[in-house]
Amino acid sequence: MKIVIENLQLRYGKFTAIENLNLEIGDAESVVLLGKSGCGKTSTMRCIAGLEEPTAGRITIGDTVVFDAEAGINLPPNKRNVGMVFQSYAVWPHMTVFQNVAYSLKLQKLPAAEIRQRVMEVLALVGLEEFAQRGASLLSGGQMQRVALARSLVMRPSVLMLDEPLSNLDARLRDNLRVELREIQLKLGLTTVYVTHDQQEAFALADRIALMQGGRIVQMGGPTDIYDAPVSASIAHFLGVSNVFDCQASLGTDGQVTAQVAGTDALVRSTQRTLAPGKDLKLCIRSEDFVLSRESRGGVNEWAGTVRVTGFQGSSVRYAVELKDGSELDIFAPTKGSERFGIGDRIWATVAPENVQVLPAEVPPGHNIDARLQENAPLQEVVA
Amino acid sequence: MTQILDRPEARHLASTPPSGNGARRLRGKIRKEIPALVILAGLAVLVIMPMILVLVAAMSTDVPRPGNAGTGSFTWENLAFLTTPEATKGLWNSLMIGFGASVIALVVGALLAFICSRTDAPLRKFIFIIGMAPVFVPALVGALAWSMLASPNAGFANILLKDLGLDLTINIYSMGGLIFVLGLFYAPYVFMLVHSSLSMMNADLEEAAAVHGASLPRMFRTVTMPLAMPALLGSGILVFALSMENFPVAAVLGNPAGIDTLPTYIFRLMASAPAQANAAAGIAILLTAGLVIITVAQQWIVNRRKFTTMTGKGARPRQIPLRAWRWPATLFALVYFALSVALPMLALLLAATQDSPYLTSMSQLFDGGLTLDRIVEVASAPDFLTSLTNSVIVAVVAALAGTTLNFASSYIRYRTTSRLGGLLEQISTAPLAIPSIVLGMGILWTWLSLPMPVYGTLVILMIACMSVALPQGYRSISSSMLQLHSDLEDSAVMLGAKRSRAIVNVTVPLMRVGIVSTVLLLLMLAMRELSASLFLFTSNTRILSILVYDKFENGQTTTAAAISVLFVIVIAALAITAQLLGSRDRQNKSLNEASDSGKNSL
Amino acid sequence: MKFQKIALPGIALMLTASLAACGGSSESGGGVLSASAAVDGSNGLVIDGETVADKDTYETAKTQTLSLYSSYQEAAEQAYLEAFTADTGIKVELMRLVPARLSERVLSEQGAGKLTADVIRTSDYDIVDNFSKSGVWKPYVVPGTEDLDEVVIQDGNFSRVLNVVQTFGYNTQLVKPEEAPTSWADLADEKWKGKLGISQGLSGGSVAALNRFVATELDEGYWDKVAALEPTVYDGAGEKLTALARGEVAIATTGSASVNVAVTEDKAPMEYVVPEEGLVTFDYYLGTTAASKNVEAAKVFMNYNFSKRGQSLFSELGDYGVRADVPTPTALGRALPSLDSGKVWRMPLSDAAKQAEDAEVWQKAFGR
Repeated sequence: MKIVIENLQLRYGKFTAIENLNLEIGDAESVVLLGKSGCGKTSTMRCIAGLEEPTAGRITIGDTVVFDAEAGINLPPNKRNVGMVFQSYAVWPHMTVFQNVAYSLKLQKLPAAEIRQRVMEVLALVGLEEFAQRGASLLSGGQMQRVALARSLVMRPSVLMLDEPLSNLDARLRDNLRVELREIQLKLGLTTVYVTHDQQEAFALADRIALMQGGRIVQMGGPTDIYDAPVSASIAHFLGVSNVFDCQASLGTDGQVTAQVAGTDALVRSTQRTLAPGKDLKLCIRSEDFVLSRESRGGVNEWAGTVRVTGFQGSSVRYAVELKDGSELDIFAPTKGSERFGIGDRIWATVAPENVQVLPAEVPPGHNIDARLQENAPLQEVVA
Repeated sequence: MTQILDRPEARHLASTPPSGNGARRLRGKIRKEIPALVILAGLAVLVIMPMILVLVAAMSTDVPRPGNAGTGSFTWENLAFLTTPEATKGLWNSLMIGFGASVIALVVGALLAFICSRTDAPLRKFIFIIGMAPVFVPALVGALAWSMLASPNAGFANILLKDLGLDLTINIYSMGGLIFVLGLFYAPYVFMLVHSSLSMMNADLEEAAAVHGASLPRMFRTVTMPLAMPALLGSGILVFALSMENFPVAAVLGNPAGIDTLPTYIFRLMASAPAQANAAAGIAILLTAGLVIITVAQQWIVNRRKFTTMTGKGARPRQIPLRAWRWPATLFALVYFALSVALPMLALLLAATQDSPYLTSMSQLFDGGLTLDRIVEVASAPDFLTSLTNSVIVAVVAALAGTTLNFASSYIRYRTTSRLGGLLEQISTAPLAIPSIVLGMGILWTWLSLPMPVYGTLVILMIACMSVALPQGYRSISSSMLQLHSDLEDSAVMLGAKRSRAIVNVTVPLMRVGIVSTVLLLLMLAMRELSASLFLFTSNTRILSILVYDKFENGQTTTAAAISVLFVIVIAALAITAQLLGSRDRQNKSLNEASDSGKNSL
Repeated sequence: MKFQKIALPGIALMLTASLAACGGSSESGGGVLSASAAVDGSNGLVIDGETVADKDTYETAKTQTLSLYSSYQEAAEQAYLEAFTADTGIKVELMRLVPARLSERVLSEQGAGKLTADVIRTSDYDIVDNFSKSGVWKPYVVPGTEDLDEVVIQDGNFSRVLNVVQTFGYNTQLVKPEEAPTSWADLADEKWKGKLGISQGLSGGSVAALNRFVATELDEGYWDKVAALEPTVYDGAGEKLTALARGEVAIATTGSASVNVAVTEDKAPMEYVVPEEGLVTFDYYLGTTAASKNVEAAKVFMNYNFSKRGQSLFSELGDYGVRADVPTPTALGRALPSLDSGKVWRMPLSDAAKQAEDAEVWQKAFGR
């Protein structure tokens, strides 16, 4: 079902957790609220669930207005048919797996046979049929997460919400479950809202990502859009861009941006054709976009430097390269197919102009995206 | 994980009402607060009204009496009593006693806690029990026992010393005696707080010191002790307050020495003919003011430094080898046990079973001078049986009602966004700063002014027990409630359960052990209650502690001793049940941790 | 494991309960009231030839349990009640409190409509007067007492039933008989510094009478002299008596009956003195309550108290009765001076009003 959030506001005394949020989530769409802690993403989710009462705005799920401050409508959470998987899973230790999952059906007073059938069906979906009679406190983290998921799914919710679903798991499990979650979501055609601070998780799970800062949506788009074109340096940094330098920039006669790194003579060329107004600009280059070589190739955007630290990371090698002027570059190079350098090596680092971004440090104050859909957004394929 | 952190903050403040549609929103807001308002009303009657009435009485010429709820007219005259030599002397004595007792309690309690939790002294498990044991003995009983043991002429210890030919007399009827007994009996509070602080300390902090070159003593001095400071200061001040407001020990041991404290002065004013209740109220305000200042100081000190060293994970703190001091340390603990429990109980037993109430030599006892007759006679006397029944009924009802009330307050405070949550917590913990004897006076006048026929029934005693134990019950339930993640209940709501249903299905079962141990804690405290009930009972609503006090007042010390022996047995039975149920808590706690999020792998 | 958990506290509680159940009927010592009476209960209650109650009253009374609130010294009251129950077969439940507390208790319970006493025995005229004002009493005149002097008071609201002695006693282990003080004046001697025990000057009853006695019969500044000896001041007479018996004080003001009972029943090492200036006595009153539920038992009790048997029991205890035809009191085998010997001082009813100023004198002397 569709979710429409209009002019949502949540204030505690002087503190504003959510500032005039406008967001629309299409039917069967998966949206991720991404941001640092304190940005308002969990508060937004809890408002949709009904566990928090906003101070203003309207929330509609499907055809039902579940909250409307003006009209005085506030449907209690147990009536909204919203499934929620908490970060702590909140699996009840004093019940068995079966009892946990069957809880909502028992509340609906369904006949025992139907309960049994539906519970086993959803347990099969998450791969836990053999665990039905196990005490819930005896499960591993991954199993608990699946029980929590099953518990919400069996209810056939209009919307499923997950709060940091993968953050408490080990890396290997995380990767596997990421795929499984996406598969289940697509298979059931469930409108899903995720909340996370991990951009990798966001990229993997989302059809669209809503980046939040300070209670507002500051950027909205598909994973590739967000990844390719963050709108501010702080967002870029959050998404993993580690080479961020103060700079001054100007549009050249060819319509492209040239930046000068602060405190140096280094000039960096970019294919970017727009420049945000204001003085606080930052040069942003992804670690994996640098190319290292022993000899200079000539050409733009090339600097000489010395390798200071190397770190082998399995599929890639990470280098800290110190340039002549003292600035330090963070560079990833794939292990296979490129030369390995050692500490002290003199190298040249190059970056193509199309991989150079000059962004404002922050989004302008009050910048707030109205993310209501004009038309249905196309669904994304599973990102492995 | 950090996401969870911004939520608890949010819980404490309610959303700001928006502009527009104010009336409807306001009605809705008030409707949401109804449960909190109901609880607030209950707490107001239990705590606030009594204090207001004491304040009013201090400024009036009369007090509410049965059949006449008036308080006469306004007057400042009662304040004159604050300047009498008795009041000033009483205040001075109370302060001295508070100070002295807290010093003794700190030294003894902290040493025991240290020995028990951080050293390799032998019999440590037993030392733990030793540290907690005096809690089973009500203060009145302890004072009586010590007066049997060490009254200058007829105390057992002194008779023994005379028998042994030693020219030494211990006189417990002295300032030193008072301080000694109070310090001894309040040491467990220090022990419990410091012990839990020392044993839950994060080992990493000390190991870091060791790794950087600190010797054991230095590590102890520069890392361990400072980290334990909040527990030390907090418990020290608590003992100060408790000793200052103590009535039974001051009455039994201080009176023969002519030592008056503020509580005994208050009692005397209330008990004189005619009763000078208004003057007593004035002195009561003085005592309460003193206690409030001390309690606020304690809160401030304890809250100032937030070292959360309890992570519940990681290595256990290091043990300190005592070498030659191992057995002397255990000996110290054993001596404490003898002084605080063994000798007093023995004295009571002797006094209860001695054939003739007047001993001149210990050899008389071995001459067939012991008999169970008195104990049997006391146990079958109608006043004992009535008092026992009353005690148990009052204690059970007060414990159950108190736990329910505290659960509601704690839930509203920690699990809802009600604006009243903080207020409920303040009121629930306020009785810590109110002397029990003053609370009792206030409760008497409250229920004489209200048109409900509560005075003269067991109900008013239940109310007194509930009020006095409110802070302890609230803290106990709250610590259990805070351990429980709110998601567990919220998920039930998301799955379709009404909030009340979710509480019953999820929160209460998961808090079962905490709830039960709170009930048992309140049960024990209610059984020991004396000071607040002093003015509230009538002839057939006496409870055991009052019965003991009555016998003592009438000079029937051996009967009082016999009742005390039975009294302690009943309390011990209840306390042991609490301990046994409490040890199941440790098993359940690890289950809770396993089910919460944490670093779990495949 | 679970079984053990229940067993341990269960055993403790069972122990207590069984002690209660096995109910002992033992007595605490040899009785001080040893003389027995000839009781005939076949047609009403007749003791030693005197009719104490008619048949109907007595039959009903026998089925009732009497509730007595008394401020009479506990051991003495208990001995008295034992004799009463032995003679009449009527059980009594005793609530013993010091006069001031008794007064507060009765007034509180009366005001709340919860007074459970059938009969009240206490000292202090203003206490019983207050009771009248609060409607506590139901007037009852024991047949035959109308003609006695100053016995039936306030038209029968209450009656004076005995006069309790206040003198002083000493602990025989600490004080030799030849060293013991022989007069009130002696008590103020330097040699008793730190060894004296007295009662709080505002606690009513015995103290009020003593204060009056001091004001009228002894030299001025008496209390100041006593205060200089730094005596231990007790809040209650019972506490004080126990302290004297245990030797925590060497000498204390006390009653002849109190000493008598304690020595006879518990072999307490005490002795009492008849001072040269005389014994102080004060009134004790007895009355039935309007709230009484056991009216017949109350009547029998009242009648018993004023019967020859009942009154002679007081003499045996060591206090003065109000009937002229009973023997003079004896305590520890010695007879006390007779009422007309000039050695027995009784506080006049009319002086009750002077209590407050006497108390002030005491307070000034003792600084409290």
